[in-house]
Amino acid sequence: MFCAPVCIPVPPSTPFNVLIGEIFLGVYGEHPDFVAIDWDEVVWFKSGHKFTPRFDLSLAENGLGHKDVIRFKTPGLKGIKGSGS
Amino acid sequence: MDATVKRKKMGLKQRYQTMTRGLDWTTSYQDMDKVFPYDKYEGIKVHNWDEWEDPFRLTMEAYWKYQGEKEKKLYAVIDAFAQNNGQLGISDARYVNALKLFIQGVTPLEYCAHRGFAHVGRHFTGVGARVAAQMQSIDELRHYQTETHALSHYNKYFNGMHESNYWYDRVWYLSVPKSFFEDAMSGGPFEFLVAISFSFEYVLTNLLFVPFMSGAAHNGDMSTVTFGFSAQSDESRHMTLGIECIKFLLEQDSANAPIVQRWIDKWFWRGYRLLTLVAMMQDYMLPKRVMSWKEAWEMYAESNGSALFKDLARYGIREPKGWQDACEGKDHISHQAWNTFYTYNAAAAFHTWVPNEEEMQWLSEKYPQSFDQYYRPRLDHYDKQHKQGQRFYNKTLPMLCQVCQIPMLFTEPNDPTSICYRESDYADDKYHFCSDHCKEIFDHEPEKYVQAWLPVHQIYQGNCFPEGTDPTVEGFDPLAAVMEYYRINVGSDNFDFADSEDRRNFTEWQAGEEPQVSP
Repeated sequence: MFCAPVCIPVPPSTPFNVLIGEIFLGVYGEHPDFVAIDWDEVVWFKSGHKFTPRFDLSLAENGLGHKDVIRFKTPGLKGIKGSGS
Repeated sequence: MDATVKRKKMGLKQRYQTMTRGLDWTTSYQDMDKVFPYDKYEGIKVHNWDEWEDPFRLTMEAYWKYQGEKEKKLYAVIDAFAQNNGQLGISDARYVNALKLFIQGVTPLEYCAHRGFAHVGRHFTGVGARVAAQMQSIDELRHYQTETHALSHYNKYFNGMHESNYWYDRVWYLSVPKSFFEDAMSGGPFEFLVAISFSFEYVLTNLLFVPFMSGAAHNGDMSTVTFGFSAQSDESRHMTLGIECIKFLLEQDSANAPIVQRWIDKWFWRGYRLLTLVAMMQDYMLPKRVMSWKEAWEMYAESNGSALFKDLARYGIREPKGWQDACEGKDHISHQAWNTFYTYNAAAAFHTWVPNEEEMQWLSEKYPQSFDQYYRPRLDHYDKQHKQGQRFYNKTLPMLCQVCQIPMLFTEPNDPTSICYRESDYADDKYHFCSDHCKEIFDHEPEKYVQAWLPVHQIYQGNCFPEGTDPTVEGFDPLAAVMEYYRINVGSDNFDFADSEDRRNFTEWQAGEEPQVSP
């Protein structure tokens, strides 16, 4: 559904859990599987390498800077009818 | 006794020689390197310009006559098309969206080509290359004009065409063709020829023109078909220039080969990425389909292209680095691009839609490896949502590739479920790419590409609002301000075809109501 990664302009002081709870909801909330995501099981990547964010800390405190790229995988969820989308 | 000496009329070849050679001189007040400042710095060695074989062999006199004849025929057809309300005879109003894409994204490239060839036509020291580039410059201007004239009739009846020149310089997806051509024009003259004449015109142009023109023929658009015929003989001259320039450079000095190879690698990939728009048009925007992108790629690129690179192997040239990845992408790129425009259609000046059942069936037959598994399920989902009044529009701006400027929509070679993503660090900043090949282009000339005007970054920096906009006022809607700056009429130029004024109008006209010319 989401054709490409998105650019999110936010201050470095934004808490990581605000990113998930508010910002991601606005960005990805329309995906039928969004509500089924178990955030404790999500696998995170920063620039292609695994990383483990602390949800209670800010983006900066999690080591994220300008134009850093994060991706996440949602184990058990395979997209619309298993299409990976 | 006076005898009138009858001078023998010159043959065509001789006349051509007289009119194109020996007209220049070696400057003495100014150093030749100052008069021709660009033809050495790229490192290309030319020992003897006289070995250049002119690809066109047309004198200006013959050129005017020949083109004049073609124009007469073309404008007669355009006039008849307008007189007879030819726009009513097209297959379906959805087809016009292919024309919108053409006037927005392709026609301005003709104008850039006109400028680019005029520029290099001034800067080669070799007269043969100068004449060829100047002739092509005139062709390109003619194409820009005739395309604009052929399509202007549609502009009277359909949305999404009224600001095409203005859009070209501003709207996010049009930065893809714009940055492609400006990259070529800001290279040296030899790189420009390898980029445009060889890599684009010779290797890839059939993949641009054939789909649009045969698409027009299949969909009842005689006006565009006639333009296509009128441009075709020019295009074949342009292709001849492409192959001549590459052979000339490679035959002049073996040290030219690695420089030329790097340009071929770069410009094949840049051109291939640009053609993503054509792939999408072919598979999704033509109500009556000609052939799939995959079939066109196999016919024009895979078979013709591999023969060409076999032929060039004797100069030490191999197929472009991105070739395998481009071939692998044939099952995917059209679907991925359509999904991008479908989901970002609130910000695009043409309409998108979910294909109907028969079209889905066609896609499934043409793309047995990919369509049903990866692409059909989300289209079915969108369709369901739309029917429930919840047409999906993505509201967050996408990340763009720093080089090709396309949203990062392409997947990893051999893994259609992961977005392909590369990055480079340069001078304290991070840059993102859609592929190994775009990354390599950046890494070779980072100072050039860090200057890219990326629409998404520009929007976030506040550079794409109408002048005088105050983004701090209560209730400010940034995307509405961007649309206003773009001069995209929200509600008529954008959104789903099903909900469009184009569709409503066309349906009424088909039912016999008189078409109204929009003011």
